[in-house]
Amino acid sequence: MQRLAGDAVLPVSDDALLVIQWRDAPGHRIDAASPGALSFLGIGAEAVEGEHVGVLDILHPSDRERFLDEIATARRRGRDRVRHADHRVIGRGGLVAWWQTVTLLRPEPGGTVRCTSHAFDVTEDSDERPVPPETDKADTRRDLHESERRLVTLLGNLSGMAYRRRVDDAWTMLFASEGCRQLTGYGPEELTGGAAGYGSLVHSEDRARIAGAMREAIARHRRFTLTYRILDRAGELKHVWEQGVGVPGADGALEAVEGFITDITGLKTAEESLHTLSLAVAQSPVAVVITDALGKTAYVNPRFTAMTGLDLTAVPDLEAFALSFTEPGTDQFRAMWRVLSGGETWYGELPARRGDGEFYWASVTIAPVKDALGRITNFIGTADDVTERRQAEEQLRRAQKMQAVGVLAGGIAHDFNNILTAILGYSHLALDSLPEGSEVRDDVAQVTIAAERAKGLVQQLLTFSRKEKVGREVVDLRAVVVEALQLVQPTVPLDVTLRFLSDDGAMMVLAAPTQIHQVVVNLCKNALDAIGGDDLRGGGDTMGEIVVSLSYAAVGATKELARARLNPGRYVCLTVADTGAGMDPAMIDRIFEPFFTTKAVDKGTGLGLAAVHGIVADHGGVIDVVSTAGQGASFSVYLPLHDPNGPQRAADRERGRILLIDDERTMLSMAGRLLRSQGFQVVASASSRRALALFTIAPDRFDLVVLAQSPVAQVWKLLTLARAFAAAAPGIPILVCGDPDSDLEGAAIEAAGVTRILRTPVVPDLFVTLAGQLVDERLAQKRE
Amino acid sequence: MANVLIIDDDDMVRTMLLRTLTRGGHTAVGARDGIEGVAAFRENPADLVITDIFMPNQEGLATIMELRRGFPSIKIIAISGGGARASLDVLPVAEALGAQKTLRKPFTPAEVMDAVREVLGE
Repeated sequence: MQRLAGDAVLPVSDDALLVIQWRDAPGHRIDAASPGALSFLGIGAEAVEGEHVGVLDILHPSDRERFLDEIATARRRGRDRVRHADHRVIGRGGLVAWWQTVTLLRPEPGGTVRCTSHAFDVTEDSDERPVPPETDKADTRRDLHESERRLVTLLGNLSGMAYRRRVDDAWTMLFASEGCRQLTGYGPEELTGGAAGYGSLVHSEDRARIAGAMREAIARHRRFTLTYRILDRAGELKHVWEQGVGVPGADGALEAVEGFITDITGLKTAEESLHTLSLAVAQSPVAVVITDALGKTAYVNPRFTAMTGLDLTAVPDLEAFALSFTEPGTDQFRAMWRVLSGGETWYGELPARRGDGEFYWASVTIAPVKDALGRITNFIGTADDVTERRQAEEQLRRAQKMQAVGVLAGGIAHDFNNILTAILGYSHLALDSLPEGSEVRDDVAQVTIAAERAKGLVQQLLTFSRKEKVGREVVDLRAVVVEALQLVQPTVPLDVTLRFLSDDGAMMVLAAPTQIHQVVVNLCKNALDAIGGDDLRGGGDTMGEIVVSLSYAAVGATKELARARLNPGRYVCLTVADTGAGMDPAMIDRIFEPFFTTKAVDKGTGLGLAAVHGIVADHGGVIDVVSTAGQGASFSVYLPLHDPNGPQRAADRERGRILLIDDERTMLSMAGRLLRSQGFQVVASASSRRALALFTIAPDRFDLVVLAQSPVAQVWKLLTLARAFAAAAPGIPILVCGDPDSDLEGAAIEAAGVTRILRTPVVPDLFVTLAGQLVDERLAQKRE
Repeated sequence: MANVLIIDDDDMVRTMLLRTLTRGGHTAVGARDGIEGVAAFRENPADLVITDIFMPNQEGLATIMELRRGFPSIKIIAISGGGARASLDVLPVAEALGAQKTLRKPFTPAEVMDAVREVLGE
């Protein structure tokens, strides 16, 4: 049978439909094929016409027998079509593809059957699919389905979207895995069916950038990796990561893009918070050093460099970090390594020195960072300059020590002074009875000298216990200092000069002159001792000098002195400077502590400068010291200038105002004086009616009401009065001084609103203590 | 020469003062607290009273006030070494209440004799 040229090519317009006509007869010769099929098989129409190609030639050897069996079975049963199981074919260049084929059967005269096979290529990823190894037929099928199932499951389970898309602006998807729902909010059918174009989801600001990057990668046949933003169906912004590659078609031209897109919003957020965190570390007011597990430094923040003067290169490891605060041999350094090697966090406060030599306190923490398995992965070291806090604590400790000394002194002074009175008295009496020049007289004279020293010690101690502001008056400081220097002058050795310099003008201060004397005398004595203790003076050929000076000091903004802080205000500055031995910083730190002395046991009590400090503080002043070892010392006392028009000092106001009522005047003057001597303001009245009227007008002016009951007054009268005061202002304490014979106890008192009762005769110190306590409680209550 | 009443609860101090004044040519008697002192004074008014401040039963300030009320021209020297309970300087108060002179313990016999001479106007 002759055929016309061109008959071998079947007129099928769809390349995807593969049609082959053949004859089920020996040779199974192919008569004609569609263009798609010819293209796939890589054979020309002339080869078909020349009857050179049979169906068996294109069927995979493993599938030939089954394919022909399926035809034979259908013919036997009289069917006109066969739906073949998926089978492999071998195409151009030995390429293997999977086809899904339906063959129509048409019997011909002569017993032959004309077959028309319609096939679709069902191979996925046809150009990369490896040829499966030759196995048993059944196994192959099972394996194939299994691997397909796995692939689908795998893609479906991916947190992200695997895709194949067209190269167009809309990014029209040809395939999208299930993960697209989670990523975009659209299902695969919506993205592939044109309902939603993935390209339109891409953030407008990112479109140009990623399009350019893709074009470039595809042009170079490279894989592209991009991060960009999309807006999902709900309008939520997401950060995504995409990797893809251009896939060329049969003609080598770009046909599609295949790849994978996943949501990295969480990572981005973490990355951003990590960025914030690292910024925080960089800006931290605390020095931070991070090392690896072996202690090798990976990072130091700017604060560390500012604090220590060291940069990353100067701190190569954890040891160098520790050594920037302490010495290798110290106990703390050893303890640190013991703690760290045990996997624990180490904490310590270390005396450190800056690059410029300045001393500071560093609070240092080194913490191991562990992974989930408890292995150390890093060390983080932090350090903070806690000098100010340490100083505040030190001041508090010192103040507490002084207070303790004061309490102690107050407790023993009474008995001690009585004992000393007896010792001094009897030794002087004995002295008078002993003949001049006798040995016993000399011995007893030593007792009087010892007793005088003890007397001086007790008086210094009492400086701490006296908090009252007795005898404080507005005085010219210059006159007081000149007086004091007259006391000092006789004790100055001939080879020491004492000079006095002063600014002109009145230097009025509110002060207790005797206490200022004590300040000047103690400072000069300290200066003399410093000069005397100096070995340089030795033979007496080097002269020592003490300069006492007075000057004005006006402070606009809070001023940092060497050892103190001066609040704004106007001051008189009293300076005592010497050319003596001077002091090192550690010594200066302690000189105002009670009992601290560098002097020989017989020379100093260790209380002189502490007393000066106490007096100056009591006067609302400040004391500063400047000294260098070997170069003398200079003490400056700043006392506030008295302002006649100014308000009363806060400390005085704070002491509180007391209303004192005594109809019979028995206690009035004594109690009034006692209370005033303690710095209280006292309004005393012998008329309870007038006092009550005064009180009712403005009760808040008073912090305590003291009602004194004279022996003749009746209890009911006192209680009625107390009730009247309590009713006028419930918060203000009432102290009743009553006769021990009267029945003041019990509910009657409570009902009358009396806070405390003190039995007559009133013991002065108990009375003052109790009154002070009640006023302090009231003031504290008012402050709240 | 004067009659002096010494009021102090501390035996050593009181005895020392008695001896000092006796040797100084005065007649001196002692009392151990304010109540004893006032009673002794009423019985035999002295030219001068030296009184301590912090004492049991009746302390010095009340004693000074009581004596001054009863005997306005009385001459008093107050002595004190400070209180045991509160740190309190009471001598200025004593002076304000009518003591002509105050002495802070410890003092020497010479200082006592000087004060006595001054108060008695000798």
